[in-house]
Amino acid sequence: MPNRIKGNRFDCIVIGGGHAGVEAAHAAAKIGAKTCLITIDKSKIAQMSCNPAIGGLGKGQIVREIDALGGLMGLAIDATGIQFRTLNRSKGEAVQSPRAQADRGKYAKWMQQALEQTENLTIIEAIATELITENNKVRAVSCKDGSVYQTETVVVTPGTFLGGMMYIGSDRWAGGRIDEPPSVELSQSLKRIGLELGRMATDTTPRLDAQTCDLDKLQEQSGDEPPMPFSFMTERIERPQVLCWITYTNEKIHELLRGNLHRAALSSGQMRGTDPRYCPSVEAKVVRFADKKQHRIFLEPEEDSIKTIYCNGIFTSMPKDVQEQMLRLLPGTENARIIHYAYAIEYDYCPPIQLKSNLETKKMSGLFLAGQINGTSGYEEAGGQGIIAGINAARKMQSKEPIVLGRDQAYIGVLIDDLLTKGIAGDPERGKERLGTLDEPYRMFTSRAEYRLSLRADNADRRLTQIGKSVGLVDQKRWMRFQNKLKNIDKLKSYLANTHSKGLSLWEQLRQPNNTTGQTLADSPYVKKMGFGRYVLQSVIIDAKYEGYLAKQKRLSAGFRTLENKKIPLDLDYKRIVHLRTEAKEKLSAFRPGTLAQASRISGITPADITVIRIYLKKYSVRTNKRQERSI
Amino acid sequence: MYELNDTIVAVSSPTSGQRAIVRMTGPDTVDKVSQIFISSIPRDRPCLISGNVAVAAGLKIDAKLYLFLAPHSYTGETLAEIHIHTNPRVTEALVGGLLAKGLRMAGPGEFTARSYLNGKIDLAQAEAVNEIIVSSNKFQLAAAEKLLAGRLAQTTAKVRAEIMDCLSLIEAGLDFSQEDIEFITTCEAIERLAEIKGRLEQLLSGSISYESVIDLPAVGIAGVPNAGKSSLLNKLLGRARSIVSEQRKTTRDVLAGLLTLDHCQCVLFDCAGLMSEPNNILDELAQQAAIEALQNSSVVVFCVDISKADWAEDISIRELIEGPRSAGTQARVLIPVASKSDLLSEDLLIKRIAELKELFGAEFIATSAKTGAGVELLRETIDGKTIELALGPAAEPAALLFSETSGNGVALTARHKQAVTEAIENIGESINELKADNDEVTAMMLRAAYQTLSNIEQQHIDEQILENIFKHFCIGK
Repeated sequence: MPNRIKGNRFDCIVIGGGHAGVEAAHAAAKIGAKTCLITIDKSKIAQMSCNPAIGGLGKGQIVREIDALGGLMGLAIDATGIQFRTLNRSKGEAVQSPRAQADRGKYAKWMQQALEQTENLTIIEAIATELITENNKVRAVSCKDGSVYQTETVVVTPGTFLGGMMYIGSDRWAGGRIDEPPSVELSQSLKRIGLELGRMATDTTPRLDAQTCDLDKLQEQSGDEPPMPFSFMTERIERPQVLCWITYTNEKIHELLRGNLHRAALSSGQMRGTDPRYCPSVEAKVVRFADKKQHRIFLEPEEDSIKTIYCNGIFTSMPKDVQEQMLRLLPGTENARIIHYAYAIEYDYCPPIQLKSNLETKKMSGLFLAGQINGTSGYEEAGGQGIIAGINAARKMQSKEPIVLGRDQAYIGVLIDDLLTKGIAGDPERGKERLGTLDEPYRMFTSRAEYRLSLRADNADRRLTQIGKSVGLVDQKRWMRFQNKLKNIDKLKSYLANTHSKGLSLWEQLRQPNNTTGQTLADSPYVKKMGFGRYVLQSVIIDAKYEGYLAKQKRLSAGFRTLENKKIPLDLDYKRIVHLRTEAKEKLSAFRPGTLAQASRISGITPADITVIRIYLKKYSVRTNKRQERSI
Repeated sequence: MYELNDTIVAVSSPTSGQRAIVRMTGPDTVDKVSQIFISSIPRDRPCLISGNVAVAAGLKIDAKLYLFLAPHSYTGETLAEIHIHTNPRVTEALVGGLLAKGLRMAGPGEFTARSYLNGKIDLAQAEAVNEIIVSSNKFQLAAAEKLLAGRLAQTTAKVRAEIMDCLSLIEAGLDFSQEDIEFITTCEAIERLAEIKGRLEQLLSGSISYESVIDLPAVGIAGVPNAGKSSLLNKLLGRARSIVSEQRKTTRDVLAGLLTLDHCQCVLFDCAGLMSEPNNILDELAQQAAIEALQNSSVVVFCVDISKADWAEDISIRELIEGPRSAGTQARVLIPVASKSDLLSEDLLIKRIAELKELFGAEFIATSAKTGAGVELLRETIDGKTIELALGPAAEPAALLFSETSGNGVALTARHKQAVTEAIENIGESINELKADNDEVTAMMLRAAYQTLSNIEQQHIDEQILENIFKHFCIGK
């Protein structure tokens, strides 16, 4: 029953109800834009198509950031998580990240309900087929059922659906996800309006019937006690946590895979995409790390009732019979029934150098892209872009300055900046032919953030709540709670600075390596009297630890900050800078960096090039000023 | 790509003269000057003050201070000049003191760079600056590879690669801790970092001040491309080869080292191969640099590959090496050397040496960098010729030509020293942090060390560009 609201006007239309689309639609609507989410199937909104987990190294920080800005992901996982673990517990707080297994079904349901309750948001079940544009501006979206929706802005978040092609071994069919059709027309429409598209590929893992797995004999992995929530608004998680299990591949499995390499869709050359390095298929692992006798596999439940098992570590594009045999040989799954075979999927993406830092396309005003279409992988990366695209789409409609997070402000800032400047992925030998083409999905790592010590999971609230408030995403309840936390942090810090023992202030003691002051702080009479919660204590202890290092980090990055502030006009004609090397002209014309710092991060751009642009800009500004003087 | 917001310092007078001007510019100028200049300095007006400057604890010397306040100065920023009459070592100490107070050593032309970036130079001039940047830009790419191999950068590049290796493993441990792989153990990482640190420390402790070698006699090794010059140089300098980093005016763009002989020390350098007809602009530029360098050398080792039979090219470049025989200029002393003697049989070698003698009218010393044959004789010859040139033919060999510093070390400019010292500190800290299990801080310090070292390599390129600009421009200094 297509919802025909022909000619209905919206401020913002979000196409696609995945993890990017959900955040984009929620943010835009909450800020005040009259928003519409177009999705093929309402019941599939926020579905976890791959790993039933949220967070992880680098990614957990992003979830905290989405939460601090006023997004949904943190709240959703807190409400539906079934096992919480903080990763890198043994390492410094700056590289610790929260991660949680979700009950897949409940997670999606929670999100669907949250969207239903969002004011200003209409959800429409339809297949968006075309963007209607006029004078390089988006005007409307038309759907397969013939309905047309007028709009000021569009956020496209199609995930793996654009031209989606699925593979199991040599079987191949068009699809966007298990049992779901791909979106073919929209791809064509994006091409027609002048966007360049590339192909990206990824593979998934088999899902098993938990009842048929022999889990008892396997090594168990339990969650943290107490579980650490993601959202600033969640005080504690009291649900009982489920177990995960660990098993290992063996020589027999490796032999089987080696013997069938030619049958895998990804490595047989049948697909155009390449096997990602970061999350390689099990067959790629076996080939690449030939001397390893075993690889670790996590068997993760997908529901709190433990009905299905996700085999984390068996990403594969092998045919069904090989998948069967492999599981027969894997301890714990010898008799397992496969509910869904692992499949590989190849889809269209839009090389992200075509974007501005607000995630709007350079070509088409009002058109924003977020998530896998920009070449990323992961729910968190998608959500992070989604919320920024949603905010900026709404702000565009309201004629407000876009929100652009800096590399020193947020992992989301690092992510978007990387997409804009590192169009050519890590390995320079690959993907050379086409300028600015990612050759494998972008995934977040903590090492991508040069300001890692200040971009922590524990301080995401202090980094971004203010911004969330200023754009109108953070509600009063969160804001009051946040103010209260800040006040308590201040109080505790001044108490620590003014209380001395053994000749040192408590604050100074906290700064010492391996001090025990932090552990005893919770029991101090003052802290008890004031009733500071564990998060206030945690913030203060971590701040103390990193205080000295942050000064160092600041000193080390001083040079970059000056460049960050030097803006380059987006319409700068690099060809006219006679003195720029040809290669630099080409690269810069393709990337169109927004600041000198971004320009300096583009591979192949030398400091000498930056100097040349800098001198040119100096002249340029002198000229512009003179012109302005004259016109006055 | 210079940082433009800090305060920089440089000596802007000839190193050999008795008068030196230490010039600084930037926001902290007045503050820093007040810390060393022993008279009160007005902060609100330009001035000229005579007084004392504290060089080091207990050492004061007479000095004049010129202070220009922003924006009424050459650079458009507050600028001070300290004029002193003293020897280069005191000047060096004075600058060292300022660096320790947080100033940064300026690159060549950086004062003028600030001047135009602050709008003190007009558009036409800025246009011309751009023009020159282009030509140096093209020059930089291939020329850097061609000419600069073997310089300090090569050493630091190696160290940098090792740092990167360690860093990647430590980063992998942070980002892939969920994999059942141990990328590097803490012990192993500490060991490797300590070794890297050791190498940099060696570089530093073995180093001698660049300023102290600038007055030593220069001995060049010249010849056609692939004549075996570099191998010969390495052989002469021995294993602990010293690299003089960027000696402007003397041995720019050439591989050079401090050679300690029985009776004297000299700066030995080898330059790009000479060609009678350079193939392209890059070769031409390389050639120019080589000829410039030869002009400053009193003794030239003329290197000819004896393993080949055709010496037409060698003959045609001989004139370039000997230089114009104009009146008033002292003729260069040539030491003809036949290289790669190990490639020939005894008989053939004797025959070829005779042929060379006939062709060039000089006796060649047969050498092999591979076997070491003839190298001792070459050392003695260089020693003798240098002494002879400096003291006259009848003089007693004496230790006169030894500089105060002895030993074979890398000659580093103050700025390079600053960079290497910083890298050592960073690596030292990274080791401490590793011991304290702060891998994420370790990573930050290693990144800093890496950046500092790559700045040595990078700055060189930037420097060349700016140097070139202001060589052509002739504004101020």
